[in-house]
This record gives sequence, structure tokens and C-alpha cells, in this order.
Amino acid sequence: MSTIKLETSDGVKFTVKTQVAKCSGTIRTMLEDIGINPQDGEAIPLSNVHSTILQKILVWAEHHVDDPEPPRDDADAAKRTDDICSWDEDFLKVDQRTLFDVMLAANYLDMKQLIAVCCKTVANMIKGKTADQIRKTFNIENDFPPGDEDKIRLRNQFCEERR
Amino acid sequence: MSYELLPLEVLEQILDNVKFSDLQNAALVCRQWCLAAEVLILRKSCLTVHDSLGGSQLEGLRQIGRNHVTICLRELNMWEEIRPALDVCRQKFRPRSIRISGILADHLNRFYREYRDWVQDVEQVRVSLDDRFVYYFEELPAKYVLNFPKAKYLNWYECLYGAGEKTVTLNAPNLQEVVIDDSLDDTSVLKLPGCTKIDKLNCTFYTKKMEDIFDSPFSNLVQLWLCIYNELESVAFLDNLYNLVKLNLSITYSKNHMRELSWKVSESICKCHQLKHLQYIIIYDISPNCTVNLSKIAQNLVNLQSLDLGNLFIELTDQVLRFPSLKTMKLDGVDFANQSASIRLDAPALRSLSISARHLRRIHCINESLLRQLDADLETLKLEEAFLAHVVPFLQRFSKVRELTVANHNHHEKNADDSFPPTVHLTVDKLCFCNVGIRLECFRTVAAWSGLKVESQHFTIVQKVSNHSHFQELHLDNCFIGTGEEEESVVLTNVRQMRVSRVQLSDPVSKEFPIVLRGSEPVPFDDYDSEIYFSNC
Repeated sequence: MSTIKLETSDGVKFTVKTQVAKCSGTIRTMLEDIGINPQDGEAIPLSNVHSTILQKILVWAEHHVDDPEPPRDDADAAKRTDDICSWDEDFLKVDQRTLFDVMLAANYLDMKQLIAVCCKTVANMIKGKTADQIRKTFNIENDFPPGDEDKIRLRNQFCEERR
Repeated sequence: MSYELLPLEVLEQILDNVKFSDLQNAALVCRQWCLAAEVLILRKSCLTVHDSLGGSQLEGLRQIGRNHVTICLRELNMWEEIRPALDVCRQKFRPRSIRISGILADHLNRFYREYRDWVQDVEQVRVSLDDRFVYYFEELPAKYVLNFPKAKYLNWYECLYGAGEKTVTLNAPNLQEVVIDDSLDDTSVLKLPGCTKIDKLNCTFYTKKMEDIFDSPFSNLVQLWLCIYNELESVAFLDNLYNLVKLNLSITYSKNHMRELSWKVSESICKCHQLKHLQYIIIYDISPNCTVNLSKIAQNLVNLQSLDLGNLFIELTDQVLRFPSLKTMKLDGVDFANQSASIRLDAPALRSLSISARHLRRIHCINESLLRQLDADLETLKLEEAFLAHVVPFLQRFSKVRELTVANHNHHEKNADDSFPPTVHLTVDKLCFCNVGIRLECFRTVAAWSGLKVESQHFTIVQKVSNHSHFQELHLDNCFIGTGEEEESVVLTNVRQMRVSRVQLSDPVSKEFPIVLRGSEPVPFDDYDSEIYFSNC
């Protein structure tokens, strides 16, 4: 079985099945389009991903490597967030810092399914909360200049959901 | 921590999963979140203008720095109150889509005359006329002409009960998709002249006539959905629909011309050679004068994937009907001009059939059938006769059927005394009773259908129809169950899932539903509207 090497930002080298590594659109493009040859034994540098996070992401990729292509979803269709499979749900039961790093890394590695399931997980933490509660949940600083919040409220009050 | 530093595209994808009200809150979290949330707010909302925007709100409207492409106008009847807001909008926004609701044609015309430079270039127009809460204009009957030369989509909805006597002509020759929902007021007239580019048309008419609205042939039509409750006198609009792929007709004919009109409709349908989906249903009662020739349909419509004929008399020749792509066939409420007629099918893709139980004997396949779903309508038959004389013999001939629905499509059974004998033994995965009155003891018979699981697994391996593991499912919808003096529950050890909706019991002896699955707790049952779901997966 063909494998390739990946090197993380902290210098750790991983040997990974090519098929699993190709869950990442970024790596797939490197191999297929740019023509990086993994047989050379040189590791592909992933300068934005730390080894602890890559380790975790590879576990996910290994589990989902045989997933069929997801159906193209309709942009206007109501999004569901209750369809996270239980394996993913357990996988993402991590502290917020890790969830955040996984999401950033998945974005960098272009792993659409993993991003989607992370986004749904975070979305479920937002639902029904006020702006203040959201800030507390994610430890976000309110960086609006004075008066801006009123302006935002003002301009969005005319917006009604389109049906 | 760093959630304010998420890349905008990721933040947007997160927020794309929350409700609109949550978006409004997310926009107030921080600057980065506001950027992401407002992109989505703009995409998913329309700017709504109504009569009570005054004072500070009007000032807020003036301060909006972005364009809104979808504008929704309410209460245009409150003219003096809403005009200041309309004036602000005219200055600030370039809409591509406009939605107007809750007014009369007069208000629409007054708005158009005053603001036509602002709205006449829109691509989407939605108008909803409604005279239930709006005062009438003190004007004489009138003809109005509105021009929307760039409009591609029109949705025209009327809820008028007597505010008509107006003719509204919409000059919109570039319309491609039109939805019209007519009201009960036969004096309100809509005209759409010269619309030759329409490819999707969806109309529900109570009083309107096709020929009054449209004056051009529909040569580009791909989808036509018509539900017309008034009696048709002309069917010329069905001529020359050579590009039609999907046709749904629910219509009724004037009594005097039934034979002639239904013959014409059959002829027109058979000329739509591209049709993949055909639904043709007569509203109200079946009449021997309303016929359709199924042999001709088979000869001419070789691309059909779904066929649904309702309340029609079917004519047939002796020839085999070849439907190479047909997947579903519904013949609900049909009858046959020739009482000995039989439908001989060469339909290798057919998976689903719906027909009266008494007509099942007429259905034959000339080669091995992979029919999987059967929906048999009882009509006036008793369960015993339906099963023994029709359903069971059919299932012996069509042994791949795995989902059976036994239904009473046209009336709700008030008598819960019907039953089928314990000798009936079926090997289906899914059984559904709908609008049926049935004695509880019948479910003891169902409980004895034990070989099911083995059969269905065997079926999966041999036929490779589906990779899903089979489960047995029982669905009772709107049924009346005769419990009699029985006090003991029926335990269905062979059923994996059971769904019970709108079911009544004749003599509720206990407060628990008398049918349970193995291992499931008894479920309290006292409400007719309640839905119960059992599963032991």
C-alpha cells in the first residue's frame, strides 16, 4: 500500500496511507496537479498544522476514508444540524481550543466534510443564544466602537427572513 | 482565545447552519462575526417596508449603506403612511426582486404609476392580492396595464372574494416561470399577453380560464402543473407542447363535452413525446365518458418514468404495453371500459404500483417483475375478500413485493369489525394499513408472520436491490381498530418498527395501546391525534 510522509509545523513526521492523506484537498492537489512525488521520501511540509492536531485529523480521515461523495446540497435548503453521526459527535467532544484548531487545520487542508461537521457542532453551540452569551461561550471580546451595535441593530431590523 | 479570528469563510459556514434569529444575534458579537453574519442576513432576507415605519425607523432606513435586492412591500393600501419609506427606498435600493402583499389591484396600480421607474426593471415579481382585510377602493371598474419587461419569474396569488371587476394586464414577455393561484372571484381578470418564453407554469384555478390569461402558444414549456376546478370547455392550451417533460393535470370537464374533450386531451398528451412524468387526474367523480387510452400512451411516451392516472376509464388494446423506463405507476380510482381488460406490461424498471385491489388480477408482467411496492385500494371490498381473492394471489405472482399498503383511499372506515383470516401469511418487510377498520385479532395473525426476516435477507443477497438491511415496519394511519372484549395486548415479535398515527380504538379496554413490539414498554393511549412510534432496532 502506498504511503506518503507529512511534516507538521513542529517538525514531527507522519507516514500516512496515500488514500487517507488524499481526504485533504490540499494534499490531493499537491500530489496530482503540482506533481510532488512522494516516492522521493521527502515529507510534504504542512507548516500551518501542529502534530497534535494532525494526529487527530488523521484519525478522522482513517474512519471516513471510504465515505461516498456527499450529495450536493441546495444553497436555499434549510440546513440541518441534527444529522451529525454519533462517531463524529464523540470525535468532536474536545475542548474549544482543539475544536478551533481542528477547524482551522481542516480549512487549511481543504477537508470539506470535516469542516462541515465542525461547523455544525459550533452552530449548535450558538443556537438560541444572545450576542452576550455567544461572547461568553467562546470567550470573544466585544471590539465594536461605541455606537456601532446600535447601527447594526438599526440596519438589520428591516431584514425579514425570505421564504 | 480565538473564535473572533476564524477565517471569514469558515465563520460564514458555521453561521449558515443557524436560524435567522440567531444570525441577528451573531451580527452583534464582534466585528468579524458581524461581517460574516451580515453576508448571510443579506442573502437570506428581504428588506420589509410597511406603513408603520416612521420617525427614527425612517432615519435608520436612510442610514443603510448597502443595497437590498429583494424588497417586500406590505400595506401599500396605507398610501400616505407608507410613501415616505417608499421614497427612501427608491433613492437607496436597486431591487431585482419585489414582493407585494395584502392589497387590491387598485393599490397595485397606484403604486406602479408612482414608482414604475424604480421597479419596472425587476426580474422577479410576487404579488399577493387579498381583499379580506383591505377596504375597497371607491373606483369604477378599470383596466390596468403594468410593464415588467425584464421579469423572468412571476408569482401571482389572489385571495379575492368580490373585489374584482378589474382587468390587470401584465406585459412581461420574458417570463420563464409563472405561478398563479386563483381565487373564488370570477370578476378579477389577469392577462399575460405574449408570454412565449415560459418553461415552467404552475396554475391553480377556481374561476379563471387558461385562454383568458394567455394568448400565446406554450412552445417552450418544460413543466406544466395545472389544477383547474372549474369545468373546462377548451383544452387547446395542451396543443404543441413538444418540449414538455413533466405534466400534472388535475382537471374536470363540462358535462356536455366530456367525451370529446377527454379524447382531445389524450391525443394532446400522446404528442408530448419527451414526457417523463405524467399525472392526469379527473377531479370529482369518475365517468365512463372520461377515457384515456393506455395503449396509445405506451406507444407514444417511451420515456415515461412515472405515470399517475386517476378517476379515468382506461381503454386498452390486447397488445403488451412497453414502458422501458417506467418506475412508478398509479392507477387510483380507475375503471376499465372493457370488463375483461388486462394490462400486460413490459416494464423492467417498474418498482411501485398503486391500484384498486379488485383490479390487481388485470396486471401482468411478461417478464420477471422486480415490483417492490404495492398500494392496494380496498374501495368497497372487505378485508377478507381483498386479501384472499386479490392481494394474496397477486403477491404469489409478484413475489418481489416487499412493501404493502392496504388502504381505503376515498373514505374513512367507521366500522372496526373487518378482519382477514389467520390463513393469510405474507412475506413483506413493510405493511401499512391506511383508513382501514380492522379487528385487533388480525394483528395476532401478523405476529405469526415469522419467516419474514430470513426471506428478506435472502432477497437482498439474491437480488442486490438494496444494500440496506431490511427491517420490518408496520404503519397504521387513520385506522379504526376493533378491540372487542380482548384484554390482552398483541405482541409483535417480528416487527422492528411500528408507527401509529390518528388511530382510534372501538372499545378501549385499557389506557394503553393494545399492540406492542417485543421488549417495548406499553404506551399510554388516549388521544386520537397522537402519534406513537415504536422501535426495537
